[in-house]
Amino acid sequence: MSFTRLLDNPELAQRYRKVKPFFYMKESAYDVTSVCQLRCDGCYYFEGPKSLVRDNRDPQAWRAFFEDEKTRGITYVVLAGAEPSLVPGILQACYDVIPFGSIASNGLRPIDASVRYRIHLSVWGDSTGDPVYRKYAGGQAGPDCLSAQLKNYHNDDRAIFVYTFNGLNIDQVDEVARRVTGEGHPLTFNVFSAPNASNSSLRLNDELRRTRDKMTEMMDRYTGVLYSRYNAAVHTHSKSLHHLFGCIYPRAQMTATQVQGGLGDTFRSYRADLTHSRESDCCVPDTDCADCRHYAAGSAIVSSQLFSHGASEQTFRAWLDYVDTYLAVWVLGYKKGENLYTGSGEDILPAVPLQASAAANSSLRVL
Amino acid sequence: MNNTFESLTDILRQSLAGTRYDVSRLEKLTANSHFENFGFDSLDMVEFFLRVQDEYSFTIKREDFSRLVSMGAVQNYIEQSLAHS
Repeated sequence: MSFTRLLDNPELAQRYRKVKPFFYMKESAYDVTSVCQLRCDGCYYFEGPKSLVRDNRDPQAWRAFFEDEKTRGITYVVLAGAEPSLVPGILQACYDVIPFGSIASNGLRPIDASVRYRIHLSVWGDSTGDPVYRKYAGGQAGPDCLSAQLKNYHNDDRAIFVYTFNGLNIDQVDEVARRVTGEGHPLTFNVFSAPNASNSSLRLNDELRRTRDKMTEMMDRYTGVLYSRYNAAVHTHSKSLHHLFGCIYPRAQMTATQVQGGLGDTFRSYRADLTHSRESDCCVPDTDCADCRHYAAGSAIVSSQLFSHGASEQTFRAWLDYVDTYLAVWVLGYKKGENLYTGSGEDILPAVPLQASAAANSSLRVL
Repeated sequence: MNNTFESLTDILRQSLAGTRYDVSRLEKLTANSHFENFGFDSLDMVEFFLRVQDEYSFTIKREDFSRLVSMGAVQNYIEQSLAHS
């Protein structure tokens, strides 16, 4: 079916008009500090060289830096680290310059209410699992993070809880979903993606299908879950995002056979000393691309796939759901609509992996 | 050729509807103007290519996107594709 015929459908046209104004978002990521109270199992931040820099701790330096970023055309910032809440002056400096973005935090320390970014609170398990996965930096058993997060962000509309499924915590989401949505907060999902050269026991391996089923169960049970069936299918496919769709981030484009453009031209991943390198410019550096199922990566990779998803009604519906979900997760104040695609995803995702030689000619490649 | 240029510009204008793009900038667009100098978002260009496919009833190959850098290039691509179909 032609794309213009797809837009003759009022339901699809309305949703497309809803998401389209956000195409202008030009994103980059910034590790604002290398300090964190915790050392979580599988944390990608403390892999690779990025945590070994000498932090720039001067908010004025960061303010001037963000002015340059704004001049460069960046309209949306992702502030992360280690733990951004530990540098409130830098967060405020950024927000004063580019007031559109998100912060990834463990939620143990509240971020000042004046910083009106979307706040992604990481959840790694329930009250039994979290202290096991998330130890203090000194090695002691970690705190009950979820209780602290719910306390610190009570009635705070900025907060969204991000549950990262791993090979050991699939059933722990039940308690988390009940508590988070019970307090009126939205919940979304991430899938553990192993850092480079990691033999982490947290890899999902044979648990991907069960993870997808659990995601679907949570969506059906709790209206506060911001997700879609297509999100679930994509992020629990046996092949990673990279193998399904390719990757538009500069780090992947360093080895790509074709220059991709788009996000690949503008995205940078800055370290806490305000430097970056194209070889590590991606949303979650030091992740093993062959295992990448990050929700952050998918937000850009799948969203950029309009051309391939515009070929049929089912794929277009699925894509619209994916983009609608991603905007609700990342944009403060954006309200997710009802999911338009009700399939399992198996009918529209490749059953077999794209081979490297065929990928360049496949319609399921990025723009 | 002029009619095709005008037709393509209309399609581009449709593709930019609902975005923040200032369509008055298209008044300076010529057949040889490089798209990259006009600040189009990559997804707006994807919609443009999808609409061009529909309008001219042919398929644009993904690997040819990088060649379609101007309206003139798009016009030539259309003509070549239709001539070989």
